[in-house]
Amino acid sequence: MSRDGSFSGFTRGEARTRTATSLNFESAGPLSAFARLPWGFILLVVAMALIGIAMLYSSAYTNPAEQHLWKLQLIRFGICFIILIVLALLPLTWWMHLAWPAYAGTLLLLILTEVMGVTGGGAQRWLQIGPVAVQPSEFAKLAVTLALARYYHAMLNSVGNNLLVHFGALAIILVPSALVFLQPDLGTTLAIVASGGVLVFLGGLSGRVIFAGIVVAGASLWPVYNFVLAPYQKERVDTFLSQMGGESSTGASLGESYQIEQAKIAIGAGGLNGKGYLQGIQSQQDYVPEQHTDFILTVIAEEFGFLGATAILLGFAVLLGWSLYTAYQSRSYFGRFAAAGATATVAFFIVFNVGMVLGLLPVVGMPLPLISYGGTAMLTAMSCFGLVIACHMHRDDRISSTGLF
Amino acid sequence: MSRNQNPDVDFSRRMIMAGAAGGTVWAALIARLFQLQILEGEKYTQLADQNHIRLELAPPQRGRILDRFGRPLASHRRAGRITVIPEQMKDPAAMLASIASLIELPDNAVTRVLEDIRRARQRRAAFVPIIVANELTYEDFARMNVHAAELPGVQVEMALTRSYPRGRDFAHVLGYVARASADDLVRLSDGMTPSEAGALENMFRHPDMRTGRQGIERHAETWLRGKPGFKKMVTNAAGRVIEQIPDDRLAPEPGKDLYVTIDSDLQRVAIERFAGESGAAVVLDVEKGDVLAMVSTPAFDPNSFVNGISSADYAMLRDDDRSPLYPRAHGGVYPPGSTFKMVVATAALETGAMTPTDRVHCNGYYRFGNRTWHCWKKGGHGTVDMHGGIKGSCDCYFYEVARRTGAQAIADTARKFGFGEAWILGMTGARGGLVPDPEWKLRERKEQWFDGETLNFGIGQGQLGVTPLQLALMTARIAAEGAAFKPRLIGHGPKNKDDHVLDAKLDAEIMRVMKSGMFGVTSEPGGTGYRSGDLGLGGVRMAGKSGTAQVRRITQAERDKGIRKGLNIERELRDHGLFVAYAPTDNPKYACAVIVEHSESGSGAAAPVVRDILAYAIRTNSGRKPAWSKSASTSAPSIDESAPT
Repeated sequence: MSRDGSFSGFTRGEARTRTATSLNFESAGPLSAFARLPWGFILLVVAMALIGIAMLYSSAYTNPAEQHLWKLQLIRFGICFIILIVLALLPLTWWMHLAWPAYAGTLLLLILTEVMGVTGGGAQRWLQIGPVAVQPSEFAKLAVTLALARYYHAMLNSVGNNLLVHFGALAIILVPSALVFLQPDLGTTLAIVASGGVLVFLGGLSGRVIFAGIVVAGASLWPVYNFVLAPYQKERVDTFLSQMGGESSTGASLGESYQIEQAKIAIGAGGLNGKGYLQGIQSQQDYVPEQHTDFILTVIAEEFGFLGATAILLGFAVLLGWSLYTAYQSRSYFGRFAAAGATATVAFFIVFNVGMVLGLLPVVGMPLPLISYGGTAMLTAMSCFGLVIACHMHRDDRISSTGLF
Repeated sequence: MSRNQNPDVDFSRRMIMAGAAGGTVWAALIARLFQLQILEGEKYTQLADQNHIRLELAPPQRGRILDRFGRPLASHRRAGRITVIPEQMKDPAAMLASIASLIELPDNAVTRVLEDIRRARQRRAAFVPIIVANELTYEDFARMNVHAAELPGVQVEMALTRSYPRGRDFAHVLGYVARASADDLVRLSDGMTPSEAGALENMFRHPDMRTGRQGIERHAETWLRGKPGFKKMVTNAAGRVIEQIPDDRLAPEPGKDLYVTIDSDLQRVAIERFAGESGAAVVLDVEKGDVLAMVSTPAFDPNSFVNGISSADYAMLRDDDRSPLYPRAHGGVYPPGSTFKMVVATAALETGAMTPTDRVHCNGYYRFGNRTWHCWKKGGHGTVDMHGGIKGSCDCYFYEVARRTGAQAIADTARKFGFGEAWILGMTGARGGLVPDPEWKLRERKEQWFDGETLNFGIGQGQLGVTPLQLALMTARIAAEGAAFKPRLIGHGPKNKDDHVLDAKLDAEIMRVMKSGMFGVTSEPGGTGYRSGDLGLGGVRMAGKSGTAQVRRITQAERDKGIRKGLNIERELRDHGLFVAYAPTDNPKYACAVIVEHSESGSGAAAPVVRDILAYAIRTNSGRKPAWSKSASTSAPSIDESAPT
C-alpha cells in the first residue's frame, strides 16, 4: 500500500529521511511518476467500481428501460478513470493554484443553478452545460476541501492556530453550503458541512469551542426543523424518527417508509451468503425504489449477503484508511488537509448512504461512491481519490507558504 | 486541543481520533448489517416471500352436464378472446382503432374498453387484463394472432368458456350460466356467515367464474361448481405477475359431472318434428319415471348468455311473439281440453257416479239449465258408453259424467294424477297450473261455483290449467295402471328435495278402462286419432287421447255463421292441439304428451308428432341402461372441442 509501511510514532523526522529518495521524483520525469503511482490502491478503486457496474446490471436487467445503464456507467467510469490518473499526476502546487479558482467557479455554478438550473426530483440541482447535465453541488464538496486546504496551509504557516482563522474556515464552508441547501439538497449540505467540519477539527480548533458549537447546534435542531426545513425534508426526518421508534410500517404503505422497509427486507433476506448474483428477488422485481442509484447496497446485500456487504464496507475502509494515512504522512499542511478533506468527503458519502439504506439515518438522497449509478457522483469520488494519490505522491514535499492567494 | 502544543503532534493526535471515529462508525454499520442479515434474517426472508408471492384465485372448472348416454349437453370449449393490458399501452385509443381495423368489434366496445382502462389506471390496477372481444371467429382469431406482435399490450388468447353443444335443444332444461350479479350473490350467500359470503363474492369476481342463472345450471350450482383453488404468482412491487409457481396442493377442485335422464337424440328428433311450430313435448319412461325428452320450442341459445347477452339481443328474445324464453314444457299452463277426459272418467268411476257401461246419448248438444252445450261433433255421437265416450271424445257424454260426478271429485282425482302441482325436477320456471274447485273459487274469486263450470271442467276447459309435463305424468300413471311413479330429470347429481313419488292411489281396474278407451282412440274405427295408432314398427301400437285447448271461446254469433273451427280466425287466437299417448299398448314403456300451439287439432297436428316421437323412442330404446349406472363416480371434466350448434 505504501512504501512507508514501517512508520511508527508521532515524530515524523525519521520517516522523512528514510523516504528521502522521493524528493527526486520531480526530476525523474512523468513516466517514472506514472510507474510510481500506488497501483494497489488504484486497483482496489477499479475493483469497487466494477463491482458497482456488475450490481447495476443485476438491479436493472429485468427492466427494459434500465437494461443498458451498465454500459453507460462503464463508459463514465472509463472517463473518470483517466481523470483520476491525470489528477493523481498533478503536482500539489498545481492543486494549490487550482483551489481558489475552483472554489470561485463552483460558487458561480451554484448561483447559476439557483437562477437557471434544471429541476429534477423536486429540487433544482442540475445545470445543463451543452450536452451534459452537471450537479454543481457535487463539485462543491471537492472545491470546499481544496479551498480549506489552501486556506489552512496559508494561515497555519503564517498566523498559526488562532480562533479567528477557524472562523474564516467556517465562512468558506458555509457560503457554498447555504447555496446547496437552497436548491434544496440536504444530503450534500450535510456532507459539505461535515467534511469541512473535520478539517476545522484537524486544523486545531479548541475542544471547548467545538463543545460549545455542538451545544448550540443541538439547541438549534428544533428551530431548524420547524422553520428551515422544507416539508419533504421534514417528512423524511419524521419517517426516520418513526422508524427508529419501532413503528415499523407495513409493506403496503407508500413513500419513503415503504422504501426503507423494502430496503430492509431486501437486505435482511440476503442472510449470510445472499441469494446469488442476479437472484435477488426483491431487487430484481423493483421492490426497492432507486435501487440502482442510492439503494444499490440493497442489491449487494440481498445477492451476496452479509459477507458481500461487509466486504464492500471493508473495501471502503481500506481505501479510506490508506487515504487518511496519506494525510497523516503528508509534510505540507496543504497535503494533509487536502488528503484528509478528500477522505472525509468520501467517508461521509458512504456513511450517509449506508446509514440511510440500513435505516440508521433519514433518507437524504446520497449515492454510494464508486458503486451507485450516476456520473457526477462517480466523478466526485474519483477526483477525491485522485487528489489523495497526488498528496501521496508529494507527501514529502515541503511547500512554502505563498500567502493566502 | 491546546494551541500551545506542537501543531504537528496535535494534528497527528486529531488525525488518529478522526480515524478512530471513522473506524467506530464502520463497526457500527457492519454491526447493523449483522443485525439485519444474520440476527433478523429469517424474519426478513419471510417478509420477502410474502412480498413477492401472491395467491391468486384459480376458478374451479365447472362440472359438465351429460345426457343419459354420457353425451355432453353443457361442457367447455376454448374460445379466442382479445384482452389488453393498460399499463403496456401508450395510446389505448389508437390501439383499439388498430384492433377495430383488423376485426369487427361490437358498437360500444371501444368506448367501454377505454372507460375500463381509465378506471383500471385510477385503481392502480393497470396490469389486470381487460377483455376487448370474446368468442372470436376462427378467421378473426387467426388474423389477430398474426398481428398481435405489432400490438404491444394486446393479448390474443384462448380461454375456456361454458358451452352448450346442443344449443337451443336444452335451453329450458339446463338454463345457462352467467357472471354472478348482485342478486345472484345475495341468493347464493343465503345462510352463510359474513366471511363465507365475502369469500364467495371474491371468487365470483374472477373473470372466468360463472354461476347458474337458470335451469339445472342454477339448481345444481354447488354440485357443478367445485371448489376454487389458488395459483401462486410471483409478482413485482407493482403487482405485475412475473411467473407462476406450480403447487398441486392449491389446485382447484373441479365440479362434478351431472347426468340428466334425457336422451338428447330423442330430444332432437322431437324438436325437429315440430318443424318450426311452437309447442312442447315431454317423454317419460313409464317404469322408471325418467324424463327422456323435455322439449319447449322455440327456444333461445344459452351460449349467448354465458358472456353476457346484449340488452338489444335480450329485448329481441323477450319481445318475440313466439316467446322463446317461455319454458312451455314445465312452465306453460294450458287448458288440457279433451286429454283431461280420462281424469273425469276416473273420478266418475272412483266415486261410483258412473259405471263403464252406463250410456249417454249424444245428438250434438247437451242442455243444462237454460243453456245449450255443444259437442265438438256436429251430428253427435249417438249413444256411447265410457269406452265410446273416450274413443270419440264425446263432449255430451262427459258433460253428463261431470254433472253426475261433481267438480270437487274431479278436482280431487286430478290432483292424484299430479295436476295442480309444480314438478320442479331441478329446473326453474316450473308451474303448477290450476285445478279449480268450488272452495278455490270462493277463496280466490269470492264467487260461488256455477254448475255450468262443472260441465266445462268435464271437457278440460274453463279455469283448469295444466302443463305438458303434468299431462305426460297423467299418461304415464294410466299406462302404469296406477303404480307409484317417481319422475326424475337428474339421473346422477344432487338430491332434489322437491322430488317425490307420485303415489296417490289409483285403481288398476279403473286405469285399464282408461287404457281401453285410449286404445280405441288410436286403433278403433271412430277413434279421434285412428290413423296414428300404428307406429310402423311391425305392429307396435300406441294408445292416446287428443285434445284441443281453447284459446278463445267460440261465440254463438260465430257458431251461427258456421264458424266452428278457428282456421279462419287470426293465428294467435286459434286453439292449441294436444295429444297424449303411451306405447307399446300391450306393455307400456313410454308416455308422451305434446302440445302444438295454435294448430287447432290435437289429432291432426299433435298426434303425428307423438307417434313419431314414441316410434323413435321404441326403435332406439331410449330408456335403455343409462351411462351413469356404469360409472357412478364422476369422470374428470374434459374439454369439448366441438363448436356449439
